[in-house]
Amino acid sequence: MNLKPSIRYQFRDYVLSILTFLGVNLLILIGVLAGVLSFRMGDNPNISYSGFSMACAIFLFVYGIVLPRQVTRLCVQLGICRRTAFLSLFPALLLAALVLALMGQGLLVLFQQVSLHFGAGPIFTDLFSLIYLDGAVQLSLAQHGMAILFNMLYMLAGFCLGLFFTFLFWRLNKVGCIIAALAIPFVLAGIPALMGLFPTVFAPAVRLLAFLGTLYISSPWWGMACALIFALFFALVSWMLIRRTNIRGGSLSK
Amino acid sequence: MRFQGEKPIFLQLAEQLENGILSGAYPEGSQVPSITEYAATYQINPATALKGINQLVNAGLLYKKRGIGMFVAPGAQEVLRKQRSEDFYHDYVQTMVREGKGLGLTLEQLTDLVKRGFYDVN
Amino acid sequence: MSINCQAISKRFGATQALDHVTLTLEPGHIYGLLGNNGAGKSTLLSILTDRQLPDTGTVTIDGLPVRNNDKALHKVFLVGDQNFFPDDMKVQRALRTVPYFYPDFDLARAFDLAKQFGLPLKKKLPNLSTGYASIFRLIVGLCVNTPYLIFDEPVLGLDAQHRELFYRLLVETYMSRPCTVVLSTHLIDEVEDLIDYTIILREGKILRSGPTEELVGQAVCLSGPAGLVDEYTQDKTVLTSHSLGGLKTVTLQGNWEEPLPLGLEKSTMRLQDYFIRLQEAEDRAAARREEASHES
Repeated sequence: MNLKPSIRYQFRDYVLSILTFLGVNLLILIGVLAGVLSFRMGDNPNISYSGFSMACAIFLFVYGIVLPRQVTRLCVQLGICRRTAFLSLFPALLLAALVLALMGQGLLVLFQQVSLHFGAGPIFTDLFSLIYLDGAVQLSLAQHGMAILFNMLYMLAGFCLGLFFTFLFWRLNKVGCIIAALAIPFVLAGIPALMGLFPTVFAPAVRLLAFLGTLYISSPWWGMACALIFALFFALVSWMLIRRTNIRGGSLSK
Repeated sequence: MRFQGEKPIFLQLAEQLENGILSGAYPEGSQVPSITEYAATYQINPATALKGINQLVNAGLLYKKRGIGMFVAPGAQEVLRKQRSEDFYHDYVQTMVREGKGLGLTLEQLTDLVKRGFYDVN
Repeated sequence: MSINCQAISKRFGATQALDHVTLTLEPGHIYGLLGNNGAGKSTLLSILTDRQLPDTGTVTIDGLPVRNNDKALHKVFLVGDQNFFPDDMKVQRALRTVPYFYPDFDLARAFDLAKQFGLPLKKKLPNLSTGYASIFRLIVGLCVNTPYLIFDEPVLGLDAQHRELFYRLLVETYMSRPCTVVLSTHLIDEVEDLIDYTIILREGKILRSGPTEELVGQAVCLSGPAGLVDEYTQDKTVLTSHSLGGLKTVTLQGNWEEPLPLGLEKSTMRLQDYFIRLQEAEDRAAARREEASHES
């Protein structure tokens, strides 16, 4: 299996986007810091910023929408089969996620130290610390490692969701696309509404969700397992969608 | 550039090479274009070009230098000229005489007509 | 060493796009895959390169099945009519990306050819005109150096000068490195002197295939006074016939050396004429079948 060319192509693509993404995030962090420092609200600010890991997951969700189709087409044109193209998405993605998670953790620590130095209190936290460590700022090395892994897995999950949508709409014809476009919001909004209307019917489902929620909160390992299962599920469905479909190019330009 | 007409392409190519030798465009001892050049220029299959050139090789008009290319054989021009005059006799003179006889022309009248044509055409 | 298609079938809804197509493509030939629009050429080629799966049948390249096989697919390059490069890529970036995948890609030559064709390197791929988009793909194909090179309607949208340049370059490429070339086109006139092996596809089936010379030699054109022609062709397979006043011209399947009766003239055919006569004969046969099925 010839994974290297595709990974090399994707890596080049990621580098530029990641640099831009980090640049923008740096600006946001500086903006938040400057804002808090200039409107200082005592030693115990009720402002906190924890958007970085979420932003990363969304960033890779968008990547998951854009990149897989490009990679599949390019590979198929340049002598690489669709299976290799599909598999090559993941090493490249994990590398990008690792870079993002490391840089994110680094930025977080840096800005925490800066804000503490100015006496602004713990403004910056991340999702991992908020969920599992009560928003603690001083993390042990192992906790940092766990946070990085946790963030990576959520980026993977975001990517796989994007992957699923792009291959779903690639696979479907026009009518199918319209049906799917109508069905997705219906499922997202409709099922919670149905749950509210028929509480007894959905009671077991609600109990299951509540149980999963507790499980998720109970340990970072369970949280990571949830992300991994979610990612694997959508990756598998995406592969089923692309496995037998006709890979066409973009239509001829002008 | 393309070949036209009903004659097989390789014959047309051979004929064109012969014309080149006759006219002195390819002097004796000089190199003629390669199969690739012919095939590329006329947009024909290289195997066809090879077949055309081989006609001349087999007739001893061209010879191969291994690894270098094809060259015009010494005396090729003379051989071709003789062959062409022979063809001329068959294709044109005999036909002309047959037609002339059909019209009831005598040898003198025919000769006069040829003479007239000879001076009219320049 | 060959590409082998074994009983390939593919159906789209009510249309049988390919119907048990079996063929072999061997090194050292320039193949012509000919057929009218909709004959199944593009479908066959996309199945050959695992872009599309056949309903039944198998494809192997040098003995390796193409399905999900990088080794097999690495040997073949298909220049199609669609863009498979990312939409935001500039021409030069796209050319520089190819060697990631094909280390043998001749990048220097690609840039040289881009110059010869006048291809704008700094434009993004979707912003190229139809002709230049084709040229971009042709250049990649001409420089990629794979053992099998397939062109699907290569000269679509190209002007006369660029067409000639392409055919020229194709021959040079073919001569500089042993490879198998397939030209799939409905513009027969342009390629008939180039292709030494012809495959004619009609309604998803192979109608005729063989060395071009033999194929064209299988039929002759005969013309003369209608009465004489009819008498002579009584016991022969007439593909098509046309009358112009008292003069009748027929196309006959088969070729023979026997002397013709006085007044009849025989001539050989160009591949394009042969192709058209063949299609006409098939059309008539199809119409007859239709009629027969209505009557019964």
